[in-house]
Amino acid sequence: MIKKITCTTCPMGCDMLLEHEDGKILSLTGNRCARGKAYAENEFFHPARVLTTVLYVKACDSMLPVRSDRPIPKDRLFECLRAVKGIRVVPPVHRGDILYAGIAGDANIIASADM
Amino acid sequence: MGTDVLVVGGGPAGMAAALSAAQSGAGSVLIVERNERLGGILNQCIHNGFGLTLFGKELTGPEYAGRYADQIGQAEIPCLFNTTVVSMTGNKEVLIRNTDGERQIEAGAVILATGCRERPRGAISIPGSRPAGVYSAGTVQKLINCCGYMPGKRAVILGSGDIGLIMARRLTLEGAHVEAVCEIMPYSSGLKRNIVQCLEDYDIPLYLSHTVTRIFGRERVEGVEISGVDEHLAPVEGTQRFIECDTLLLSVGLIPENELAGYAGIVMDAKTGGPLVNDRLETSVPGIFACGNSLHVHDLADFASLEAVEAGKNAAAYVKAGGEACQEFECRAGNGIGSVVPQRMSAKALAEGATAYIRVGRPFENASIVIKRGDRVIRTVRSPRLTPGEMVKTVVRDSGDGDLTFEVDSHD
Ligand SMILES: Cc1cc2nc3c(=O)[nH]c(=O)nc-3n(C[C@H](O)[C@H](O)[C@H](O)COP(=O)(O)OP(=O)(O)OC[C@H]3O[C@@H](n4cnc5c(N)ncnc54)[C@H](O)[C@@H]3O)c2cc1C
Ligand code: SF4
Repeated sequence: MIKKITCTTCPMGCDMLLEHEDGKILSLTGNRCARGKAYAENEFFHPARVLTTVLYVKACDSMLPVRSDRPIPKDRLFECLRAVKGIRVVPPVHRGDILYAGIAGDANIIASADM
Repeated sequence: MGTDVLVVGGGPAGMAAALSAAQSGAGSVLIVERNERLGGILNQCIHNGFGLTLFGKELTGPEYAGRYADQIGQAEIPCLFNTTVVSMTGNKEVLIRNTDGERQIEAGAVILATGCRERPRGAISIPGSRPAGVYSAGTVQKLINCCGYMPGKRAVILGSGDIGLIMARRLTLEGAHVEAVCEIMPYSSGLKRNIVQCLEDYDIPLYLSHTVTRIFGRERVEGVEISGVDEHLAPVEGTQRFIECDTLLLSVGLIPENELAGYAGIVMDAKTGGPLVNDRLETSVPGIFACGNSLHVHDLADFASLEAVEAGKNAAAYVKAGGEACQEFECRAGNGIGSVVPQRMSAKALAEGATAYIRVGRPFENASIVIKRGDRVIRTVRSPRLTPGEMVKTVVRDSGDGDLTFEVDSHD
């Protein structure tokens, strides 16, 4: 099977074609440099994204931006999002404070701003 | 009341400019910000992707802004919040307004860092009624991220610039369904990484060479008609398709915010929508500088801040030593070039090496940006891929004579 992967490591944005079978990579074309290969392998085996969202803070009647402190496996983003939405934030909160420890493994949800 | 350097706007550009002016020896620096806090547009950009260049980390907008705001606090630079600069003269008499009323401030130098605004809805004309549910993308960003309000459940986004792409992902994560992103051009002006991480990750279709040709619904949007367009961007009969939705987001571009420049009689550049500046980022009025999105729209906040550092330095130098008369040459946007900033460069700057920010007018593959003085080529920047969405930064060094022309040389 062929999977289309766009390398986002640098502004070149190479369009790569990754040929795979039974979870193994058979070939990769389209990358202009070795960083593209590393990116494609990571995207194929462990695609992960930083999760960002906002939480309503009742005490301040305003929204607090939050994020995961490291990428979360892509297929668990929505599940994590549901857990994050359940966080009750009690101010004061400072940028970088951990609001939820150990989400999707060893990622934490941290505050993006002071409140 | 007076100040050495007055910075209008406390976004990433204004904060960087103020810090740099203070560090470069300006006696007093003042930031005037119409919102209640520092950070500018970054406060509503809660996604990550900021700071890679400056902090070597992927930060969210509020984190990036927070780091700068901390430095402003440490440097004890005064800020006037909830205060708007309403007008300004060429003599740098700045009129500010807040709940205490109006006041005039005499500034030694002024730095414009007022950011940009979204093109209004009137900038595009879509036939049909004007029901509720049509928003600009930035408004929706603010509604969701700052007010916690979801404007709808099923959305179509017109325009594939970065804000449109970012909002496609935000809407999806917050529980809405994004039916489609339509882009009238045959290419997206957004960063490739945003196309991947905001659309492809969530299987949101991107229709290139498509536009919204009708809005349906009386009180609330009930759907839109999209159509393919030809090479002249005109809708093609027979390609119409109906998409059911309750919300239409318009992400049709940004324009520098520049009312103030008009009051001071500053000469503008129709191509960038911002003031015309020289290599010191000084406008046509001596002692008034511009940086960040109010000078030209930046793709990255980091670049807006970096540019602002220069503006701050130069404003401080202006206050200390006064203006500097020097022969200047014009930077002309030639074939294939969308815009060049600065629009003028001094002989001295050119001899030392001056930075130019270039945008191409359309995408090119395997092309070069060629900088010439007359027939003499002084610099060639080769690139396998040039797009209007990504600004090219290059240093021009030459001790010759004559105006500069920037052109695209496409090898195909
Ligand atoms: C939706 C969106 C997504 C983005 N995504 C990214 C990204 O992923 N990564 C990235 O690096 N960059 C991103 N950017 C770009 C980045 O946000 C901008 O380049 C940057 O914010 C520009 O900074 P600025 O200081 O020039 O303008 P702004 O941040 O707009 O600040 C201007 C400030 O001036 C104030 N002001 C204006 N007029 C007056 C007046 N008359 N008196 C007083 N105050 C005034 C405003 O209130 C505002 O605070 C994004 C931008 C948007 C809109
Ligand atoms: S493959 Fe190399 S050149 Fe291509 S986008 Fe990735 S890092 Fe850039």
